[in-house]
Amino acid sequence: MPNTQIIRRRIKSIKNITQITKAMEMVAVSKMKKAEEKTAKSKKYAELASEIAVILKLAGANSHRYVKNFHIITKELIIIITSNKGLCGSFNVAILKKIVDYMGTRQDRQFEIITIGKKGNRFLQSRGFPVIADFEISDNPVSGDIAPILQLVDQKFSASDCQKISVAFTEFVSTLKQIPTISGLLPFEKQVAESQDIPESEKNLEYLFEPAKSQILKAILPKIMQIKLFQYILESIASEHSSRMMAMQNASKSGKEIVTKLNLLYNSIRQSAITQEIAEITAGAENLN
Amino acid sequence: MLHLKLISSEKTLYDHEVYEVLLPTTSGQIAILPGHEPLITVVDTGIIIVRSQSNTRENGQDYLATTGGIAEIKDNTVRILCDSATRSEDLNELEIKKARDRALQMKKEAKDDRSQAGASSELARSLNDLKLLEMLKKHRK
Repeated sequence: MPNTQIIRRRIKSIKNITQITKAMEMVAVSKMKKAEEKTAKSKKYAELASEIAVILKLAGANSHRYVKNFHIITKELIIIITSNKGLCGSFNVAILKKIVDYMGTRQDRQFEIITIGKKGNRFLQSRGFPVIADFEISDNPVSGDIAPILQLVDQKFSASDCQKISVAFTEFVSTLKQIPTISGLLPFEKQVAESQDIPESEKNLEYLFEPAKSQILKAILPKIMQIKLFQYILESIASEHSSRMMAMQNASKSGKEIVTKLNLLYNSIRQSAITQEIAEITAGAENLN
Repeated sequence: MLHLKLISSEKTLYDHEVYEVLLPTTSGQIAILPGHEPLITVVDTGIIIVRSQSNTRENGQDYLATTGGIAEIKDNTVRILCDSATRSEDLNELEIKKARDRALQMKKEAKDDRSQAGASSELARSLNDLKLLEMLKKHRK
């Protein structure tokens, strides 16, 4: 049986760890609330933006370089959003697994990767995936932060270097549920076709365009792309914090359980030691008589 | 009546019935009344005016400073997507002037294209906000 001192030490160190995980949980909760609020606010905006994109598509808008459709995709660019820090449960593992599977099932094309977040970057680079750029986004991003990413994406797509741009992010459904998702960013054609079905009456609506359609597209499409990417980043941040919160909650809980078990063990060892001592003393006393 | 839905990247400013909306577009100001044709247009930096009733006087109108966006009109529904939009009563002259000076300073010090563009848009925004305040001041006299 281990001696009481070792167990006491273990109880103490686990209590300390529990304290840390609790503190981290609190931090994650407050960060998650903020991120969640921000995500919910811009979600409406992003939804309306993609609705307008659908309308534009239905109106036969195809005179912009973002709308062109490729029949054969030889190279796809994926933007992968992960966290900078660990200790957030399966958050990063889930999205990276999804991505590796995705690339594994599409042997017909080449891939290029842009990473956002250190965890994803480290994982993919150490496994020899073609990471062409890495961007760092803070916990509290503003929409201007993604400008360099958009610039690179635009350059890649406009030069027809890549025929498809996708984003891998973690969709924030609720505090308990986050889904790793891969969603198309460019070209618009593809993405619009994949989106929700539209009632027949809408399809026949004739819209007036002021100024000309091509000018509207030029003004709107880059904006819609920006809104989308930004929304994906916000969702990922909210997901990261909530999955960290859950992970820390579980850690605190199991910490407590271990402490209870160790306490029981400690007490029983202590008691048996005392019993033994008393037995020894009484035996000794009897011998003296 | 028109159903106006005005969403900026920060919040939903309108989601109810109004009588008339005046929009600054890249091809001039347009007024939208009930029964308007389906239309998609680009909203320019400027001032959006919302009238809630047909007979309201000046003080019954809402003024919003916007930095532009997209508007879609169909079936008496107006949906406007703005990068940013602020109600005139939420504008603070002192704050805006500070922001303008900051933007001017930034523009002077900007080294690359990106910060230059950022400063310019910040400046355009504060100048537009000021324009709205000036306009309202004149009206009240």
